[in-house]
Amino acid sequence: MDTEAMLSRLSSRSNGRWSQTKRLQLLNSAQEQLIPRLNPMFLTEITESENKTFSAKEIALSSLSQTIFDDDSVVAVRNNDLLLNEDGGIGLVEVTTPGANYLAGDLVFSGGDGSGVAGTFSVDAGALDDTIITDKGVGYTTVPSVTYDPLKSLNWAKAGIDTDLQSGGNYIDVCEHNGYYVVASWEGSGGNASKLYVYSFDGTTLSFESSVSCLYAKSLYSDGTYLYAGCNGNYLRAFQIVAGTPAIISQLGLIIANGDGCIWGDGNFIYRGFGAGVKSFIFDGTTFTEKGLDTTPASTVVAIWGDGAFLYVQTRDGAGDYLHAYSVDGNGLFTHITSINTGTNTAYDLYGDGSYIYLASFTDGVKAFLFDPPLLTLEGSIDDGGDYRRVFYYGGWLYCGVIGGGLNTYLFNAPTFSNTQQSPATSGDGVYVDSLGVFYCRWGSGLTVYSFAEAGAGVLSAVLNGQRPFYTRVPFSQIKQTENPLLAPTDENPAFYVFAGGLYAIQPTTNANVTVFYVRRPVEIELAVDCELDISLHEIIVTIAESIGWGIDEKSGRAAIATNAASIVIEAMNARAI
Amino acid sequence: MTVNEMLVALQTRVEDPSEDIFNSVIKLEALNDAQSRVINLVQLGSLTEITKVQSPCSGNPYRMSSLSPAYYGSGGSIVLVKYTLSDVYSTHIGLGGVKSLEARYLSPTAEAPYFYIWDASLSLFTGLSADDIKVFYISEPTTLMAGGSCSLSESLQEIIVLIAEGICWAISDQPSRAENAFKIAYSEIKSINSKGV
Repeated sequence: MDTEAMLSRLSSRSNGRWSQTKRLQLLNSAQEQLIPRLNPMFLTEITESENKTFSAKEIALSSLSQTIFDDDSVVAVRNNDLLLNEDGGIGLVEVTTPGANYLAGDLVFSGGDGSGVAGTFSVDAGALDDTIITDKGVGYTTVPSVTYDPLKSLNWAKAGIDTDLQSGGNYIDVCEHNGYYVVASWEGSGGNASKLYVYSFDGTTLSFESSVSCLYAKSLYSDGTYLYAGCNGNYLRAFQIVAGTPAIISQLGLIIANGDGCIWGDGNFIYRGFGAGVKSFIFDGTTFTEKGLDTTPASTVVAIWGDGAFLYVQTRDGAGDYLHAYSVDGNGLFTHITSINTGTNTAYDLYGDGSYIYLASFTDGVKAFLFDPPLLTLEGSIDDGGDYRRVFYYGGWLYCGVIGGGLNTYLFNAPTFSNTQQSPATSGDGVYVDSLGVFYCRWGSGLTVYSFAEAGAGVLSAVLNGQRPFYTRVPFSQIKQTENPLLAPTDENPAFYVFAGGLYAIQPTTNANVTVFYVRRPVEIELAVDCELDISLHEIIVTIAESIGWGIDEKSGRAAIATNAASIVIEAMNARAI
Repeated sequence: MTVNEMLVALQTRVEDPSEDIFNSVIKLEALNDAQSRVINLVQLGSLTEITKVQSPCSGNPYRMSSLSPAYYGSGGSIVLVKYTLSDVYSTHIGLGGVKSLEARYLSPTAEAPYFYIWDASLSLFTGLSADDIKVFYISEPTTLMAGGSCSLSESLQEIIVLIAEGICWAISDQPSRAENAFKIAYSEIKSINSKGV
């Protein structure tokens, strides 16, 4: 109950004779009286554990970060420098520094002299939190180092200065080609003045290099040798970038290719969608040659992606959108395998991770499909609003460019999309990701590079499986008995005593690092500060406060009833305690 | 018994049929205080109506703040901990008793895991660090309000009224009647606890 309710209770119990100030004093006195009488099990709201290191075998209780309730409030001390009962496994991964900006994921172990350890970690508001060992491993006598997937979270702060560049056009696609980042910009009336812009990025600064005209450019693909641009209702073009200061982009060849400008390549062929089908081409540095054609898709092909084994072709139409699966032979000839309806007039882009094919489906969000020949099946979807225009996969994460939303990222574990992150409201389109960052076409606002959240600086450390020895608390009056060789503490069975505000180790002889478990002082109950002890104790506090109040007023009978009531409850609770 | 029935019963017990002495606010406060007292006094086995199960719970230590609905009774609210996959129950041990687990023959194993509670967290001693746990715990009872109902069992509702009666008699400076009501209530609780469910 809140302070107001506790004051109201006390007012009723005192027939309204105590002022508010007095009742607050009584409640705080009651809280002080209750804490030392209760087993610490009922005081978890004010129990603390803290690592400290003995100095000259002493820890001043005043050096604890929280004010300890009293000398008796040291409940346990554990030695962190020693491990008992080791079995060769890794028993624990400790969060040494919580850091920030992380998402839950798998722990990554390296080094150590054993093998097989595995685990996961969770986060609390972005900070590293709990860790779970899923396999202890075997044969460890030295601990491995522990990290986490470095690409688990984006830092929505931009990677550095000058990361927003714009040309006055709409940046719609981006890809990497031989160390440069190339952007397709839709410019002019209906795209009739479109260009490609070349940038370099050193991890901090994005620099403009050169540009080239590329009418109606819609999508880009690089095979490492040539850069290809698919242009709506126009051409399939090939470009090269010659390194230099600045790097210069120039066109090498082109071929007429009507229909949507979507393209993809697999190292052997370049694929281009057109009005109602898909074509395969080869390019020899000067000339494009058409190799294959399939017209099974009855409507406009808007996206193509391949996983090396199969080619996936997406159509968009008011009569229904379809995802088609093909095999392609060594001559670039298509064999249509199957198709699945993916919606109606919403399909925009395809990408895959080797297991699933992802479809950016405009107002329908992003959808995941599985191709288990000969069947294509829908495995999951998510829609966080806005128009999903592009999808890209890198490092376990899906990146979606969303107009009217932002850059959305997801994990997909069929059938669930999870760990959603969304950039600040920045409508956008094409996305490309590599180890340097996330390159995001922000439509009319240029190209932005987001960095990964490595600056979070979280630190994890592994600990061999075993038990850290707890100290035995020796009553001050019985210290003499520890001189008996049969009762003398050892490193494995250390002991401590508390005296006059100090915690003293009898063993071990070295100044061990320990965890001190203690009960701290509670916050004072005030009008604006509620009692922080568990709500189940509030009634007892009111009753003790009542007994103190009646005692002050020399109403011994009423004080006794309240005292007795509180004592019975406290005794019953302590009897329950373990 | 509904809360309205509890109020009527209390009204009768404190001989105040027309609410001249105790208005409904005071009586409801008394009933809620009595309910809190009863929960702290009876054995946990008698509180099945407000005992909740949360599963799966992962993480070591497992933070009690993750329990939903919220726990009631600090560390004392934890009734049982059971491992989800292995179906093994964990033994609750006080922090002061953890030292005893260092003896090899008492070391926690997959078959005989232990846990202690500290800092509103369950620290698990086990060979099953990957296994999620199922936590049985006491949740906060429904606040007694006019028109509502009491979430505890019928047998405890009568005792709540008895203790509320004692609180009311104490407020009206009738110590002997208060003591008498408390005495009967505690005696009944003692009997319930002695059943050892």
